[in-house]
Amino acid sequence: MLTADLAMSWQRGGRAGPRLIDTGDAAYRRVAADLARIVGEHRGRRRGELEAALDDYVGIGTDYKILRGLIKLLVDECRFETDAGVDPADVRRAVFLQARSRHPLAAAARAEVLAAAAEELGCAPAEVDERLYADLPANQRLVEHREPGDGELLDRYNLAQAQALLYRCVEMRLRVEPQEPARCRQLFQDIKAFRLIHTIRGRPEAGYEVRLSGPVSMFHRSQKYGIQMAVFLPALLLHGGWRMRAEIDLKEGRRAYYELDSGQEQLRSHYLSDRPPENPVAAKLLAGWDDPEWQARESREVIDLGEGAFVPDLTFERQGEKIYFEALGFWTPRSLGERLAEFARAGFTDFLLAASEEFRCSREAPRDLPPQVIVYKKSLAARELRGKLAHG
Amino acid sequence: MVVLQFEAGTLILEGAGRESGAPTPFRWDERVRRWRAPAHAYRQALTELVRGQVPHRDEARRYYQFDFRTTLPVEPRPYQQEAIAAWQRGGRRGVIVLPTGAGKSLVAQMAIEQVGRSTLVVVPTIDLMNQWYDLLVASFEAEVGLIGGGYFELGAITVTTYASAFRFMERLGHQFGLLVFDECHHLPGSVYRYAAEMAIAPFRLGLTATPDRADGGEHLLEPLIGPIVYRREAQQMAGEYLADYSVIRLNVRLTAEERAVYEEERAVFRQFLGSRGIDLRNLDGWQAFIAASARSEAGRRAMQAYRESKRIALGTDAKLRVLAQLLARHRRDRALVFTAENDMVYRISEQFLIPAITHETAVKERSRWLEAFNRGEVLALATSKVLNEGINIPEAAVAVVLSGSGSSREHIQRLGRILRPQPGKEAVLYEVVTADTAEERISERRGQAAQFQIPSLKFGV
Repeated sequence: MLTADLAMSWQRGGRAGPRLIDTGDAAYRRVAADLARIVGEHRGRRRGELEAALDDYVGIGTDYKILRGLIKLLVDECRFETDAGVDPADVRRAVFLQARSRHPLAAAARAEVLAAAAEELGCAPAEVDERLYADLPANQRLVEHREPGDGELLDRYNLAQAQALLYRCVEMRLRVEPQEPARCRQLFQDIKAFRLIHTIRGRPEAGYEVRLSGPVSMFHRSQKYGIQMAVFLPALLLHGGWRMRAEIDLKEGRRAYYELDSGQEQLRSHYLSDRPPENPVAAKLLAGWDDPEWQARESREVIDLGEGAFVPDLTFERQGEKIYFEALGFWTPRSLGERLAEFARAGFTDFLLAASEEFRCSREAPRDLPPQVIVYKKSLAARELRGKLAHG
Repeated sequence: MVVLQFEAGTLILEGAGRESGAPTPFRWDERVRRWRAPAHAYRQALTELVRGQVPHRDEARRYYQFDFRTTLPVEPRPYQQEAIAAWQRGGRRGVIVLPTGAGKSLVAQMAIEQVGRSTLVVVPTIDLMNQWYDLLVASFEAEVGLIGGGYFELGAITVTTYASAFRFMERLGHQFGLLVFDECHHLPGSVYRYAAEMAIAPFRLGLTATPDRADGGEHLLEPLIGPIVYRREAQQMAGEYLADYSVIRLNVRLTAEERAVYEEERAVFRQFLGSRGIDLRNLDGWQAFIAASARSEAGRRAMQAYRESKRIALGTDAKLRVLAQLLARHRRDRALVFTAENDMVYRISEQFLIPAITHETAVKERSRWLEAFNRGEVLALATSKVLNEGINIPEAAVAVVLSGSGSSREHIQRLGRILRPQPGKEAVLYEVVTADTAEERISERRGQAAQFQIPSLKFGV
């Protein structure tokens, strides 16, 4: 990610956005390739040399902020190491204590001190001189770097600029279109994983509005969660069917909105798309469902539970009664217990959860389960579900 | 039974329904359907639960009481004792205002000793963090932790920076009973104040010489730390506790080659200022230059020229020759060499084979060299801005300022390093300035403080 001093954004009226570069622009593609080449050429050389070469490349052009941004992203992926050998801290201890008797050191006496220290350390005097400050960042060597693919660095840069704008975000609103339960569930899991708190409003037909902020946001407007929102952005970009409106704090108490939607093509996530698996259990159940009383339907609902959200796979309806059903993926007695506690806190009881023994990721067997949980061995029998519905 | 819990920089009242109510600082958080309060309301929340005889369990508090042995470096002065007494009367909350050099850190150490609970000391910079670390290790027989600058160790007493505290307080805000904010005027205004809001610490101490802020943010200190409980200004204390010292200014000259490059670069710089009608004597002249320099290649070149000319003036080899002479003159005294830039520190260290202390120096190595210096195992240290303040090196008698900023505050702090009275010590501060360069004006600016208006010698070398 970029440091705040490299962030570049525009504001017009009540709107704001990152200053992006045209990734198809031949000049920028050449710059990206040049910078990557300079880094590659410095493998095995000192960090100070690499930085001087990059500084020279930046030169006196007025686009230096963009260049420094690209450089920051490249150098972040580099690993620098102190050369193997005597620990420079040990060298310094030996040398500076030896120099005490010659203080203040005349140029002619320097070699004698180094020789005495070398003897103490059991190495050559030249090595002592060389290793005195070998561990300074500028003296460390480039041992590893990643060669970005064609256009990748420019994509990364644009994403990083959008993220940098979000550092100052105080609240993010997402409009989420109705979509497959598994995908929707993934989105809410991502929100939770980035430690953001949400509130949900809306209806299954119309979609939902999700507001994202953090724990202290209820006391005052806070930029505290800007970094979390920035880290969340690449995860969000992998999802479909959303519109984002991020409230950005500007200087002197002014504010602006940064808007983005899933149809945009300027930003590309570098996260790997982790397509949520289809839920064969629910699909199979729905296909084979044949009950005169209970109507089964695929669900498009999102139920707000406070900290988490419940995204059921199916609903079962009978004369104004509605039961929400989810077939769990991988689970542990602990995760199941937390989920049930969440339901209890939200006062939510109209649910049925089906948990497969095959997907249990713990040797421990679940205990004291409420009647709304069905644990099954190989396949979920419609008969068992019907029984639960009848007695629920 | 309600349970008080710490969660992500806030307090949660577990087991209380919406109708049952909660202490004043709490508000119903519909998002998670629980009562929530900012963490810094912990003291008030607990007081109300106890007074209201509400059955409760406190799971928020994760700090401890300690009883570690303390050896304060010096006997507290009367005003330091008055300050700490005023803070005690204020319920161990509040801000103490003392001028720079009056020993604010000793006041903090007295507070830590008296409160005897897990403590977090928050400071503005990594350099100061390292200095506090040295100070605390020397005074308390306790594990001292560091968070920031590559360290993440929690101790009975932990030192960190405002920037780090802002990031970790959400997770660790329940681990401290006492918060000490050094230079606490940094707290209001910026995002740093969340660090104070997200901690439950019932005891808080703010230290500063300058609580008043240009943006009027000083009133924010009160809810975060407490009111100003004690205040003394510099003029009320001057002359009382300082050792005798002299200040000697030395001029050096650039070599012919250095001079040629210097003049060339200055010409580029001046020419640009002229072409853009920028006058650096104006209040916002420098800001105007920075803005203009980013907009054109000529401007970027002018910025480069400015930096290069400054580098030549501040780093001329002539200064190293003078340094050799001064170190020889004071071969039996402990000397500190100050520069503006780290590069110069390392040049000096490599040439004279004396330890360098910069912000890149690991904390433990730094402590080792300061001890070695105090014991006389090394006689000189080279440093940039790191040893400007706070650190205890009573043996230092000579300061050589090879370069620095125009800040009189920095200059006073550097002088302060050699003013700890010791029997038979005569402190002397040398300031080495390159004649006929812009450095003369930097020197003029920093020398304007009253501390430097004493009879002094000025001669060329």
